[in-house]
Amino acid sequence: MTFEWLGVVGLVTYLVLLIGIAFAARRARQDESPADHFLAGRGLGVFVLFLTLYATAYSGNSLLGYPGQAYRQGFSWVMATGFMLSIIVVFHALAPKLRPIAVRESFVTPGDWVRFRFSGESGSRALLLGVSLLMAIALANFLFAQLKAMGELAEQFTGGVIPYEWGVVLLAGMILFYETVGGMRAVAWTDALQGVLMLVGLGALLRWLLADSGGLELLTNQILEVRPGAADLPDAREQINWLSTIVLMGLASVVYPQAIQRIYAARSGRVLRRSLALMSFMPLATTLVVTLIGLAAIARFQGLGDVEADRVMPLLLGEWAREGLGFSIAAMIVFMGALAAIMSTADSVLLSLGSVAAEDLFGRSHREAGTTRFGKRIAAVLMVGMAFLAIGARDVTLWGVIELKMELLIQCVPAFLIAIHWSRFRARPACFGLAFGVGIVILGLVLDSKRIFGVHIGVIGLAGNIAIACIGSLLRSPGSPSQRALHLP
Amino acid sequence: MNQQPQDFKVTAGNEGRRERGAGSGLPRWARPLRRVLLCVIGLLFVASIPWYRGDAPPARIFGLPDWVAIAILCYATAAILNAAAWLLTDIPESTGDDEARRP
Repeated sequence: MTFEWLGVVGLVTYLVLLIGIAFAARRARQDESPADHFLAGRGLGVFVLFLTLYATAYSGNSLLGYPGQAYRQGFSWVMATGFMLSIIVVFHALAPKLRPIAVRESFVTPGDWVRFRFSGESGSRALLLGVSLLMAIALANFLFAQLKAMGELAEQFTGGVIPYEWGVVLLAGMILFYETVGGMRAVAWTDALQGVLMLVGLGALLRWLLADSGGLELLTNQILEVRPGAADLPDAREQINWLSTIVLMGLASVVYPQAIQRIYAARSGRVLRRSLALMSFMPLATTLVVTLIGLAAIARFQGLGDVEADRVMPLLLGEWAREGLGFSIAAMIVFMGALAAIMSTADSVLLSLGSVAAEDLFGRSHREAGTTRFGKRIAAVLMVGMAFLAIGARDVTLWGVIELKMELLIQCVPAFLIAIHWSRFRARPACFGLAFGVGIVILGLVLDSKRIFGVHIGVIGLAGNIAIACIGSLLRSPGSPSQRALHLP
Repeated sequence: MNQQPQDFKVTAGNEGRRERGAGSGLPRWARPLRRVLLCVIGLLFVASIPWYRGDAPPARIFGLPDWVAIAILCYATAAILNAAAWLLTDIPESTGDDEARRP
């Protein structure tokens, strides 16, 4: 059997497994409420919560985009390990305070926090819409990136038996199916399977790459022979960009709707803190590994263009598979792991997108019986739209898509991180700050100036956003209804 | 919703946790130690960026350019400290403030 047909068989087996999990999750549901569908009845334990956090955080961007960026950028892409770790560090500022309030108030979406925190204040409705819209745009962008990555992988691993376009349609349809049938429970269970596959697969690939190159020392030599500049020390501007990327990714990722919803979905605070403690090691086990894989590709594939660089992982796996049947099977496990990572992120994003759109943008209450169905319909419509977009806009680099999403999403940070720590923080100034930050990002995009002295335009926008929101809040009188309700210090 | 029994009074803020003491299941030194760990993690992030390097060609550590190996070492240490900080973090199940509930 050729590797291409082995790919088809592996893919079909994996999809059948996902269908089984979806039906099992459906049988385990307690009711038709949004809390049960979107948060698995708030009952995720340590093992499943950890793996769902892991599989959701490490996506097509990590598995295809990061090796591609390491290939383009060289050794300085080690920064990716830092910014993925910074996400788990910044969670310290949000999770311990948000979790008890979320449990007490039965939050389902991130917008529930904004609605609760700024309740009764002028400008609260506009702030809720602004935050929710930015989150929906970021989620749609994220979904687009995952669909693109799924199509690429399906085509590469079946040797074109399943073309890119059909790969997007088939896998998008599968995600829509198991999410609609099983909700968050199906997403979390499939994430657990996908997380295990990803860890095993990446470890095996790195081991082969190092063994085949003769160890790290020889691998570095081979890379420097092909591209002597790959190990150049980053200049001052690149070093500032390194720090800026850590700030951008650390802050923006914390307000990912699907991440916030996992804070809500944990069975208890203890489960949440243990899962996050385990997550601390995942940047080393995953991001560092894919960075080394991308670097190894420099020595093996020369002259790949910007967009082609996102395909270094499938190219490496193809090369690995040609070594024999045993290697083909191992490559297949990595392929499944990569596909699993992408699908697990896409399903979480889709679930969040449905709930954010239904409740925060269209104003449905999570206490209404029809909200779950409405959210599912919105998710289906968005999935179809994004699938068409992914088919039509194939030639976009994944890292470019990630940066754009983060620049916008980071503008939501004050409404969460500052609002939860500072009781005088007000909705109207926060709204003005948000508008300013988004305006700066759009201006940067229009002028094609995404960085100033290495600092991301989104980080600059955030600085202005925070200044406006905080000064405006100080100028307003103390003692808002939300302050009384929260008893914040 | 999994509302847990409330064994402490007040709030989302810090006072409630100070009053609670043993209720959190964590020793008294946990909070200050957690703060120290988070500060050290911040310093490790700054140290991971090769600001300190001159123009000399990089030496090799574990087969990698030295500044890359140092960055990885910083992130590995930060990961261990961050895991410890999470285990020292108190995440109560409720703010315990019934009066603060919204209608």
